[in-house]
Amino acid sequence: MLLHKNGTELKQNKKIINWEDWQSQNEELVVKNEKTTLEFPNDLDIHLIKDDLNYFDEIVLNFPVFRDGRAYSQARILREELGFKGILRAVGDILLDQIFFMRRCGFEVFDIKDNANQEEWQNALNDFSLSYQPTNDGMKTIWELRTQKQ
Amino acid sequence: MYRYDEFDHKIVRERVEQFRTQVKRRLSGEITEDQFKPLRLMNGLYLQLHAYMLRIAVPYGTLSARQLRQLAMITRKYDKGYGHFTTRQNIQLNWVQLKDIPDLLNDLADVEMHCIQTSGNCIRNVTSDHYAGAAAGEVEDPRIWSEIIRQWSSFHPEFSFLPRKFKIAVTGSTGDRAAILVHDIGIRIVEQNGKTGFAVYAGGGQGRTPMIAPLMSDFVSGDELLPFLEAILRVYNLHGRRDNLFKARIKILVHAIGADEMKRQVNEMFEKIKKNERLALPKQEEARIRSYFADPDYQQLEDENIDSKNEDFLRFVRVNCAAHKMLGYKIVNISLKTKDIAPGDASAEQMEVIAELAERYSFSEIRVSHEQNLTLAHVRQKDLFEIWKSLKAHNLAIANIGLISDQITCPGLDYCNLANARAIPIAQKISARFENPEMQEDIGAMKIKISGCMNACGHHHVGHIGILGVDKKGTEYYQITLGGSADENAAIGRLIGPAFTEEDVVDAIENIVETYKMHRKDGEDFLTAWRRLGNEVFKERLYASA
Repeated sequence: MLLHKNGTELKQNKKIINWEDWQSQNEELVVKNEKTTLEFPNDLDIHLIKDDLNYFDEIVLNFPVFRDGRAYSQARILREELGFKGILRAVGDILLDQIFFMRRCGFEVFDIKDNANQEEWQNALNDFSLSYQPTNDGMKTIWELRTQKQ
Repeated sequence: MYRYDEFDHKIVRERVEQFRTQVKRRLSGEITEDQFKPLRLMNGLYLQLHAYMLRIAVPYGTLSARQLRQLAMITRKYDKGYGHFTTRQNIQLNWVQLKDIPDLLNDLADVEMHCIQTSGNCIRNVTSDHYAGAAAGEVEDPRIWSEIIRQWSSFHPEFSFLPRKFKIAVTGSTGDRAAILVHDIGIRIVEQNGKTGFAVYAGGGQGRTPMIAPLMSDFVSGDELLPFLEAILRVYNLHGRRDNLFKARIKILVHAIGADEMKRQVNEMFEKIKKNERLALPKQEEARIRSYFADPDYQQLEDENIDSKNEDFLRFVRVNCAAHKMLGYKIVNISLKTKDIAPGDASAEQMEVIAELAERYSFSEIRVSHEQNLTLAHVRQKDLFEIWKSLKAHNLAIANIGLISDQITCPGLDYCNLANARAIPIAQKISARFENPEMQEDIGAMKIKISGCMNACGHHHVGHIGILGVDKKGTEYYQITLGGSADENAAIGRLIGPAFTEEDVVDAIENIVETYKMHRKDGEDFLTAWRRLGNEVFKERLYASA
């Protein structure tokens, strides 16, 4: 199931290009002027694609096992340092209790189990109404809210 | 001390609610133990040998009297009426039941306490100096920045699934009572050209591969601190090893690529992150947090001549009480190390007595030391005798702070399913052998640290005498190291020779002590003598006759 951060299910059949194929096919794809959905490995430096971001409408990042949190950093680099404005999708071993953090790091689509309880996952997206850390997700930090109040 | 505002309260309650549903899903069988494990770990709940163990956070080791009283109540209500203070200034309960945890967490939240991030592969409790704000010679109270780092690191969306746990310690003076150099990140508040900033170290640690943290920057300004920490954490999150649990700490990464390369990568990341202005702490927020750590309402007093015929009381003052920055005051250390109890344990009654003393005599504040003792930081010298009497009545007045029987000891095989050997009985035997107070003072400053396995939770690597319990073919043996130190001249202890049996290890300690006394010059303490002599004379004494 593809869950969007607004809680809806997405029906999608986009072709996902993996990193090896991108490296061998990118010239063709660029000439065709088609935007690509790229799956980027979690153990390579995300800066490798920093000059190619315009060719992607969506980037898919990987959580091979729930404990492996490298893609949280990759997502933040894409959003905050490199200014990627396309869709960010999380795939892999994703726990319900992680999607709030994933959303905060810049993910907006989550590839979860087909039999997932959609309502539970929807709720989990909003597990916390407050946060201490500034990311690109539009949430004001507690520090900013405090300073505002004064 | 810091008080929660509505935002801090709300976010803790939201976490409690989140955990309540997680526990429900576990109890109903909707999720398995394996799926529940990462969730409960982020809430400090361990499954140990006999029961669940809950680790409660005591941010930078500071407790109010009200909080300590609530902890006493909680140990009675949900546990067996006692708690254990740890080497990271936290408190642990060893006998809690899963079904009670959500209510227990609510009782904690009522006094602004929680178990958030006290385990799991995330940023753990920020620890600091138990004399913060009370000892002379501080550039600034390190708890101001410990609180700022605590907020920044709580529910950090990027750093909750690190390769491994991450521990940060902060000190405010050149004398390091927080062991910053054996932490993943160690921070010292410094002054340069009239400005206050931070020396930041990264890559220290103990465990199987002990390392002293190298310097990453000799001066980071207040505005730059959080971006700099984010840079270190991001480099670690991306490049720390994830293939081997025992090689996953940041110290392994720093050792593998070298301190210079680590600095370069951190600085590269830092240059990009600091462009995010929102990560600089607003000045109003810094001032607001700072105000919670202002000096308490001290009286203007003179130093007193402590006049007494009571030898025990005088010894207590001499050994357990440290100099305070204000005239007429003292820092009072309360030892939780007697031969009759597990080191670092306190009963509910004892907690209540200490809470009452804190309320009456120390601005309602108690500190937890990473050496598993408690501290009343601001006590008038004229009140010392009354305090001592109360402590004595509750077996809390043992005068051994910093002496041989004040040992750091891990829970060991009696409690912990990671252990290879028992640690608590060894500590108790050593305490019994060296019980005599005059003997202890004669031996002088001596830090024995005992771990029941290579994970080194008892900090044996940085003990003047370190004892490591090992398992050889089903029998417990104890290896001894000498010369470790956790202060600003941090050092890893050196192995002295083959391990000792449980029967022989206490004799070995006595032999080491005798050897030291024979060779010491001009009143030098054990560590100074060892640094002059090395392991040789001790090895000869311990093994030559064999």
